[in-house]
Amino acid sequence: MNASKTAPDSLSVPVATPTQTMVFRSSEYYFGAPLSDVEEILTPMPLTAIPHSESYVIGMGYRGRFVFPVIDYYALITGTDPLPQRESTVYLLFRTKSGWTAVSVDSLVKIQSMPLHAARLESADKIADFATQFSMESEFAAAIIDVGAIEGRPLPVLNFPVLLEQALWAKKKAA
Amino acid sequence: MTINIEFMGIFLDELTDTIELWNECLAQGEQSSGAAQEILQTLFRCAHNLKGSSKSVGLSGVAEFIHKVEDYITLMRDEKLPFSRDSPIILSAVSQELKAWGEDLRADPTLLENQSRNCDEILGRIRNASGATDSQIASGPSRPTGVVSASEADSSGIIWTDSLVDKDLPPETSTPIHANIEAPKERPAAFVPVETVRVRRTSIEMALVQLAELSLEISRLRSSKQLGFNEAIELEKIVSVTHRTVFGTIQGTVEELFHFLQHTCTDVAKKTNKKIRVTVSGSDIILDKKILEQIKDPLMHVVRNAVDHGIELPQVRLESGKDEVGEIRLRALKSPRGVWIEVHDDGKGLDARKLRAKAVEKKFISADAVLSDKECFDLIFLAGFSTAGAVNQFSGRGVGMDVVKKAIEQVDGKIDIESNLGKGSAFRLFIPAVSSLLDIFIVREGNSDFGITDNGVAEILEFEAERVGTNPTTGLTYSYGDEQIPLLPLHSILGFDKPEASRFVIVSKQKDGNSAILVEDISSLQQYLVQQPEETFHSVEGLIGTTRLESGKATFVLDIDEILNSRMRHGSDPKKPSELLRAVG
Repeated sequence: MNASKTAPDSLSVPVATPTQTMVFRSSEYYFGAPLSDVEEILTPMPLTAIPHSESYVIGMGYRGRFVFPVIDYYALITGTDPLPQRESTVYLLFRTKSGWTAVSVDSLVKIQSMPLHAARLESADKIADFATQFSMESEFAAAIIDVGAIEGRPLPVLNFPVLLEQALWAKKKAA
Repeated sequence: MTINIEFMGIFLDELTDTIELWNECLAQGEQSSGAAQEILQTLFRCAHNLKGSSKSVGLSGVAEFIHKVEDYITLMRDEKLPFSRDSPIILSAVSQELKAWGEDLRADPTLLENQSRNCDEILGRIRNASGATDSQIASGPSRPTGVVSASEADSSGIIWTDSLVDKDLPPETSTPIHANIEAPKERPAAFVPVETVRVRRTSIEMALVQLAELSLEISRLRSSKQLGFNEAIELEKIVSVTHRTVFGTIQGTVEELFHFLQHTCTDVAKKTNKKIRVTVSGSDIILDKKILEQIKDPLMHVVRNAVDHGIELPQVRLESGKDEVGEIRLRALKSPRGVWIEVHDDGKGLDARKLRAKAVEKKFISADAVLSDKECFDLIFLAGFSTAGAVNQFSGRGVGMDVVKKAIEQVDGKIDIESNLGKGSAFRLFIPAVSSLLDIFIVREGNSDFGITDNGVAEILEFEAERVGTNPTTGLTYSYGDEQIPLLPLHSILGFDKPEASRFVIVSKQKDGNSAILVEDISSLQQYLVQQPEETFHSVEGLIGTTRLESGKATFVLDIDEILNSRMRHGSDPKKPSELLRAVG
């Protein structure tokens, strides 16, 4: 991903109801998740490697008696190697259809009530185009549910339970 | 009639406890080959209390039913009526009926109870059993007994009319137990009900988690030398005993379930004029009580089918050279992942061709579909598929094997059929363990630790590189005694990079011979609480569950026996010897 890349164009869409959104940073981009989807925010912990998993699955974490795979968000959406863990790295815990899954992100930015534009990106072409602007692998772009705005730039808000479910079963599907 | 919703929850809890005590009494009675007075007295007290509380919440129909049952018990308790072979069957049916009532009311507490067909049938049986000894009943209990007369009003003023009695039922042949069983020389030990308190299941689960955490903390303190070795061992012993005790409160043996199934078999055999012998093994195997309850009805259906459709009539069996007495075998087996329960019959077996033809006729499959015998057997799990020519009282009440399969799947279990035409069938249920205490070795590979069960582990040896060889078909080999056994490095099984050095070889005894796994490091065998794996870890081969280590880190527990079996079955990709040897350095 190129750090000097210009920010993607904002989209012209109708304004919708304000939604509490958790904004986080991944590389030079901001992304969002509806706060209601985030079960917990965890500090990084020692992980156990998961045999035969995709490269973006960085290990198995735990919270009390619960165990869950931890996915590197950057590696997942860009199809590159996982980023090294930083001091600011946090794990966002989500509940998917198959169980708990955590996502490792660079840092939390803020929780903001923002009027999502309810973009409902009309066409597959538009989704693909938008994903390209954020260096996202097109297969995961379908998880973008809405586009908000932060600091005058569009903020993709993702349906994480769907995104993660898709990511966890990617290999099986491919096989 | 007004249902008192406010007290319904309390009543339903009492009902659950009463049913549990009731079944305990029946099991106790079975063990002592009869019914001791103490047992009958406890059953009477159960019925009496339940009658009162049913009335108090406005369930007069339930109270009426229990009242009849109470009368029946009173007759036996007062020795006006013998405790016959039918008595435990009838009393077991009462327990089932009460349970069904409880479930209906839990689903809808405002439900006005209806006397179901089962209830009528039970009362009919009671009447038949009681009617067989009219003369005794004439001088029966002091209070009026609706049991003995079809028209007489009972103590609560309810007339027990013929409408409650199934006239079509054949009179039961009630052989008094004391007539053909030698009286025990010693009086059976008095049955003393255990005092119980009601505890929320979540509280127990929470206590178990806390105990597991405590155990980890002790290990951590021991590792960091903040706690002496002996003190740590003593503390671990206490935690282990406490854990077992607490765990035991939500666990139960399959004994009671098998006991109930035995009754079901006997009951169906009697009604269908079959002769059977029921053998039981593995009764001491433990399962979660909730699961035991959930698999009871599906298993009941399976054993009913086994007796009704599997076992042949005595004459038919004799003609085909079999013993006229059919055998039903109930067996429980424990594996690291859970428990297998098998219902085996030596009856006529499933006819794959007939099943296939039926499936074609019912348009479940096309006429040219190619199915193995196993696939033909699995057809019976399709909704609406039945091979029974006529619907009967036991196996054709609209509850198909599809419902059985669904019920088993609800507890994450599975059901499997093996059958030989003319020789019999086996239905095997697998119930995965939600959590269990397992003896596991911790092996280190790369930067991660993994647990492996001792299942199949024959020996652990220090690795000697000069004993490694290659074989064009099996890949790497290891010299073990006189044989060259297949060797698999754990890192290649897990898909990890090769470690700097591997120090140990775990030899596992397989069905087809020995094989070995090469690991970087291994610790001694220890007991860990292993949780059922989440679906998210589907990619991990041979995964039994997950556990927490002393370091607090979570790890996977693997079944190397399963991994090796699978690898040996599928073989390995042909590789050059030099490539293979690189994997072990």
